[in-house]
Amino acid sequence: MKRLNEPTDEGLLGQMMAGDEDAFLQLYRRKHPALYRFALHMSGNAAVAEDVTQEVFMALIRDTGRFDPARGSLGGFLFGIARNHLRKRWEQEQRYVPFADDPDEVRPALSTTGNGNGRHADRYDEEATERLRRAIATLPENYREALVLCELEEMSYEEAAAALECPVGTVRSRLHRARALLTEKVRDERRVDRAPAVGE
Amino acid sequence: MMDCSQFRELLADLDRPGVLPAEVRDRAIVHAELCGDCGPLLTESESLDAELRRLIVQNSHSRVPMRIESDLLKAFRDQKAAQQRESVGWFAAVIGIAAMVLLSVGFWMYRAMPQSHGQALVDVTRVNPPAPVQPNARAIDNHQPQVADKSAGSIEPVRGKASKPATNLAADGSTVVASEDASAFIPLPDADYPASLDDGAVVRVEMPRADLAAFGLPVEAMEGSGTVRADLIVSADGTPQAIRLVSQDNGSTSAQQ
Repeated sequence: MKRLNEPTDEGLLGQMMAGDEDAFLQLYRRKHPALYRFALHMSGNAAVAEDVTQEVFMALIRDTGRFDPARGSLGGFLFGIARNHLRKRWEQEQRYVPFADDPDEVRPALSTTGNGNGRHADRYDEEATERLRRAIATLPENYREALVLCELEEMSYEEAAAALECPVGTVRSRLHRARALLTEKVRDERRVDRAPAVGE
Repeated sequence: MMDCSQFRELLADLDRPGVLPAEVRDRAIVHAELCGDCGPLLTESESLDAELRRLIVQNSHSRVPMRIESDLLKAFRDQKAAQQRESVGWFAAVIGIAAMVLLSVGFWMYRAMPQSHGQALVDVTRVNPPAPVQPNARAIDNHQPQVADKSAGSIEPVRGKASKPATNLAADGSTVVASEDASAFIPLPDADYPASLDDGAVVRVEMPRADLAAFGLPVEAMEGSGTVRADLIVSADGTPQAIRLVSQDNGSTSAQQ
C-alpha cells in the first residue's frame, strides 16, 4: 500500500538527477525486486538476472535523462532496458534458456523452499512449481514476457503494455496464448511424471 | 446465454480483477458448470492460477545480493563526481574563452586607439587662382601628408586625413582643433629627403606672407594680414621638406592653452 507522503518514482528520479544518493537508493529498493524476478523468469538463471538488474540501474545512473515521462512510466522504462539486455545476452549466447536441457542449472537459485525432509504434500507442491517453472521457460519469448509481467508480477494489461511497448490488445492476446500453451505443457509434464518407468 | 467460444475468449480473464464485469463473469461460470467441454477448461485454468500464485510466493523469497546495491551506490557516486568534474571543466573552459575574447578585444582597442587619435579630418580647399608651382609636385594618398599635383597649373588638394593629430600646436602656442581648411602639401624646392614626405613630422608655423613666395606659393591670391598659417613637413634633421597653407578665416580656430 502506498503511503500518502511517499515520493513518486518521477520525484525520486528528479532528486537522483540532482545527485541525491538517498533518492537513488530508495528508487533502487523500490524497483529492483520486480526487475530481478522478471529477469530471472526470462533467463532462468540467477546470475544472469543479477547482472541484468545491475545493468538496468547502471544505465539509469549513466543516462538518467533518457527517460521521458510523456512516453510511459519509469517502471515501464526500466523493464524496457531489462528486456533489451536480456535480448543482447540471448543474441550473444545464441541460446535461450537452459531449463529444458539442464534443469539443475537453475533450480538451486530459484528454489528456496524444501529441504528434502518435508511432508509429501510440500514435496508435491514443490514438484508442481518446478514443473510450471520449466514450462514457463520453454514458452516463446513474447508469450513468456506477457505471462511473467501479467501473472507473476501481477501487472495490469496497461502496465504490461507500457513495459512491452505494445498495445493492450496485443498483451491480452499474448497472455491468452501463453496460458493456453502453459496449460498444455503442464498437462504433458504431469502425464510424463505419472507414467510408470519401464520395468516398474 | 453464453456459448463455448465466448467462454474460451473470456477464460484467461476470469480470475483477473477488474477486467470483466461481475455479471459477465457469473454468466461464464454458469456456462462452465453446465458445459461438459468448458467445465474442465475452467478447472485447469484455476489450477494454473493456483500454481502461478505458488510460484509468486516462492519468487518473493528471491533476493538480489547486497553487493549489487553497494556496487551501484559506488557507481552512482563515481558518476556524480565525474559530472561535477565535467561541469567544473566546462566552467573553466567558458571562463578561459571569455578571458581570451576580452583580451583580444582589449588588444584590438589598444591598437586602434592611437590611430584614431591621430586621424583628423581635413577639409578640402581649393586654392585659386593657379600659381606657379613646381612641375614635379605630386599628390600623396590619405593617411599621409598630402602633396598637391600642380602639373595642371592649379593646386588641387585631396580630401584626406592629416598625418598628425588634430591638436597640432601652432607657433604661437595655440592649439589647432580638427576640421580646419588646409591645402595639400607642396614639396619645397630644396627638399632633399623625399622619404620625409611619408614619415616626416608636421609642424604648424605662422610666417610672413612674403616668405611664401620663396616656396613658390601664390602669395598674391591670398588676402588678409601680413602673416599666414602653414604646416611644414620637417625631415629628421630639421630641414623643411614640404608646406601647405591652413585657412585662417573660417576653417581653423585657435585655443589658448
